[in-house]
Amino acid sequence: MEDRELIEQFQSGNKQAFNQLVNKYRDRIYAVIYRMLRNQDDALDISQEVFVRAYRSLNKFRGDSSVYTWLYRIAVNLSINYINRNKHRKSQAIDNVSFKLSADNESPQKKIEVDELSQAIEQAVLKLPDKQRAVFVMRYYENMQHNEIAEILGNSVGSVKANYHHALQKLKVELKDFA
Amino acid sequence: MKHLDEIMIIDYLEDELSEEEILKAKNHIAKCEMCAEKLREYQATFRVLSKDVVPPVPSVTWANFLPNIYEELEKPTLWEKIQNALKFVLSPGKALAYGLALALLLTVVMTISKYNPDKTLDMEQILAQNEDGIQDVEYLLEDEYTPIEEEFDLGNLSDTDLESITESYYSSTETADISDYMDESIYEKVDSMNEIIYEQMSFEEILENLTEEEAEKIIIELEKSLNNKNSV
Repeated sequence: MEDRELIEQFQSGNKQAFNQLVNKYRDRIYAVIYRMLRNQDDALDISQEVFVRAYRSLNKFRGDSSVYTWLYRIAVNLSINYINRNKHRKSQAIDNVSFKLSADNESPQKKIEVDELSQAIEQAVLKLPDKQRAVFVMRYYENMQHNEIAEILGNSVGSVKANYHHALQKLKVELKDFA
Repeated sequence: MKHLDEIMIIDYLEDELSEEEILKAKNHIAKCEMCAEKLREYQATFRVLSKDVVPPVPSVTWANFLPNIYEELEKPTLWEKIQNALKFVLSPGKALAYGLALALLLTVVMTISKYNPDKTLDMEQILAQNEDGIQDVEYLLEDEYTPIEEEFDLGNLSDTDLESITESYYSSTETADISDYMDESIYEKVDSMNEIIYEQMSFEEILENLTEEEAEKIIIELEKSLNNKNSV
């Protein structure tokens, strides 16, 4: 079922329509939040919060943007808020990093190299300021256009481009040993 | 020979240039080892970044995802907590009156706590004295600031240049990025500005996590201060 139909169903009282929306978008919402926060538990908590807020606002959803853009905006804003609230915390737990890139049939040495790379990417991204991080994730990993990102963040295209370029310049420096 | 700046190299790699610009860039890179090396560095960076993956979520966690959402929806919102506390403490007529008074007082407190003219002036001085060091901020300042919806709401501040400066500076640039261009004393003042923003967000976070008992205490205190004000 199309998103608009699901919204109309929900607004007519069919709560199952909301469940379908969650199942449709939860993976993508989780992915973008994870890439910003770099912590699975936190990413899952924020992902849930996205849909809690969406549920509470769905009856007011006017359809000015697509449902995904709307959910995305909530996800990015909550992630930015989370980053700012936890700015002075130590870097995120990296316990869940080790499984990421290495395959079971790889040698221990290869696994170590892969883990180091994964950690390096994680630490490099975590060093980015919130806006740069958000723009970088949306542009590079989500393949969004600058104007889409600008709409989600409520900034200008120029601001988005500046943030993206700054982010990449920093990441180039941080990851030069692995490049 | 004018070299390609890094922004152009990034745009070149991402097909953001016009055909004419692409041709110029290609011709230049063919003759300039420095720019060719920069291009290779960015290509290598993109290759590294492409290896990043999102860890899979265990199926049992996904199975609990929707029930957790509904469980969270069962909990009262902040406004519902306040309403319940008001109903408990006061009669319905008074509950409405004091609820409105509470909302008004909280708005005033939040507005005052966000606006600090002394710190505002410091920021203006900082920017005036450090033009060379804030090139990035100026880039962002070209555009009109619009408060972001939802949680990150600076909407109570007026839409002024200073608001744009604060938001752009705070959100997009680490103080460490431009601290090299600043005197230490000015850097500390800028850092203090960021602290105000952090404090404001903590205040909002506290409100979000009020229990009914806490909400009730705030209301009783506000009632007292309203009574004191009315009796003056």
